[in-house]
Amino acid sequence: MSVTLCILAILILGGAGAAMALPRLIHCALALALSMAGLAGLYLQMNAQFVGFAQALVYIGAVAILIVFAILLTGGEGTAEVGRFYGSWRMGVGIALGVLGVLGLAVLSSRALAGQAVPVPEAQVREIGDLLMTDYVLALEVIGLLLTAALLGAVILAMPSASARTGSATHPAKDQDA
Amino acid sequence: MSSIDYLRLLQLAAPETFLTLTGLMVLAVDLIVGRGSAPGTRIILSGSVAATGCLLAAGGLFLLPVYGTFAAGMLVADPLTVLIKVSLVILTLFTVLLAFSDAAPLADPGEYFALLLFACVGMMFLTSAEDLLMVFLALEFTSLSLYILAAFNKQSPHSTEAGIKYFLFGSISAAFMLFGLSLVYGVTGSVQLPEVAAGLARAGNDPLALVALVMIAMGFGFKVAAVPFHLWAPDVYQGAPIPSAALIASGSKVASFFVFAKVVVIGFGGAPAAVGSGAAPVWVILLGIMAAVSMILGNLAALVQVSVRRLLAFSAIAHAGYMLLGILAGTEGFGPLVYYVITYGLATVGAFGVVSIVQARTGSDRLCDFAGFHRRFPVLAFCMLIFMLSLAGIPPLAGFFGKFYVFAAAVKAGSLALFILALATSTVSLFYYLQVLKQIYVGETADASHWEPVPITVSVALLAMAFGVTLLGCFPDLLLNRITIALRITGF
Repeated sequence: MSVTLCILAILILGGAGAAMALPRLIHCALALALSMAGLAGLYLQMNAQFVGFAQALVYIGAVAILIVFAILLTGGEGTAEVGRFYGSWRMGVGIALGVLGVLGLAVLSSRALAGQAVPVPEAQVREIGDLLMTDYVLALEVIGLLLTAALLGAVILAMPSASARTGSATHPAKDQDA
Repeated sequence: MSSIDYLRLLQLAAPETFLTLTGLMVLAVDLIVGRGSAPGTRIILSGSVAATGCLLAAGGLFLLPVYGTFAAGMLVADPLTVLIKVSLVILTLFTVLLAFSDAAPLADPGEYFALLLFACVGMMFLTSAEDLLMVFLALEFTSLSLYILAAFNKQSPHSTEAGIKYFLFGSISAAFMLFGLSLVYGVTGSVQLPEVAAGLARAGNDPLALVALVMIAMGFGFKVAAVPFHLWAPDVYQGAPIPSAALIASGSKVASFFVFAKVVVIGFGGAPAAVGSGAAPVWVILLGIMAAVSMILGNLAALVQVSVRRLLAFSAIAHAGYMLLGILAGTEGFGPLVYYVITYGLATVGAFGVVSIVQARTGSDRLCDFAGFHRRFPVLAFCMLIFMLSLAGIPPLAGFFGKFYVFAAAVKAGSLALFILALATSTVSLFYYLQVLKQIYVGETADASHWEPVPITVSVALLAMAFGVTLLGCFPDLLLNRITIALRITGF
């Protein structure tokens, strides 16, 4: 139990750290995939099979590949020379450790979580599906809407602007700046 | 498998469904009919579809409200939420009308109006959620639409900056909020607000619940631009396209404050007193500090602004401080808070509308650009007078009664020190609002005589908002009675 947990924790944290710190963007993306794989393992280890496999399929299978493709297609490799840390990294690490300490203290001293090992019901995929179609159907709908808005936004922000598309400056860029 | 009444859900969520379909229709109309037309025609075309949709949705909500609850708090339609939804749709309608102004840099009007409607739908879902999962999803849906709306003008680097800043701050605070909500679930074993309240009361002063509260306050504090989570506000208000900024400042604030109050007052209100301190619960101390620094910093920083949009941003931060007083007053402050945010939203959208007129004609929104506005557009200048004085809280305008009721509730709840601070900072705020009016009425005139006329929709919208602010100020009972009755029915 604790050995697997340690391995998974190293995988997740190491992957996440590398994703932040590596100089080349493509390496960062691959490190991120590694971290996601660790998370999938963590879910599986906690008996959340559906979430675990969904994590593996969607994040490692699709999202990570998408990121790699995006990097390759946009040629965004060349931006490695920018400093990776804004301001002092020591202060950032200090604040992060402080927050971690407070959180750890709160979790350890919490009575609500103390001692009681709640038996985790093993959610079957069928039950999750049922719930998504009944009690949580509205949540599912809202997620659908959210993705629609995201799709619209992605198209709008990635598309060359209208004047560039039509080749005419029908919509002069008024200077909106102060 | 439990059976479920989908028809009932459709009835309850009819206004949201209708607005979503309108949004899709706007896209279709812009694509099919508007293709190849001039940008101006496309804006009018898709804008009128969106405005008609808003009008119908507001009318439907107002005349044929359906009350009920779906799946234990996923969607709650009671008189109070319906009232808020009507005001949200009306604010969105005004925002849509503002976008008709030629200041709006709309390269893709169909998508812009569709996203405005989507943002409104998100806020409506947010308003009627009493389930923390739904609260988070609706909040994310709203925020995502607003991020895109903020970054919509790709020709302006300031708009891009606004979008990126809003997005980065927003996603980090959303992550904190989700963490907080998960801790609440861990402590109470539920995500439904009434059960969360019971669970928190059972848990006593558990440090984990405290951490959760701080994180949730962080998430909502970002949405309502309260200090110290306000850093995005000035840049977004200044850089985003004006209708987007107006919606971020009004509708998003109305919905967020309503849900914030609901989560804090219902969820954490029953939690016992703070560790050690005896008298006040922790959330009162936490929100009290946020309110105090918001009032001080917002009002003082607004004094030195040159850009009117930045001035409005800092004034928004200050107003967030006053509104937090309403939450602090607990159930007593609920009605005043609702009245305050709605009237504030109306006045703010109006102020942004006037700024958009000036910016379209002078190319910027500095204070000195407003000089001569009175001579060219006397009626609209008078509208701006009403908006500014209402924001400052001068009787008999709506802003005065909003402040009056909120402050009174705060005094009743015993936060006397905050009340005195609020009064003092309100007095300070008068200075910068009058600064704008001084430019408009007596500023050394630039030659404004050749300014283009204002599109009729924008003038009508501004007049309607000025009328609304005056009417709600002279007869506050029009809105306040409804709120009180709704609150009584809802059982606050």
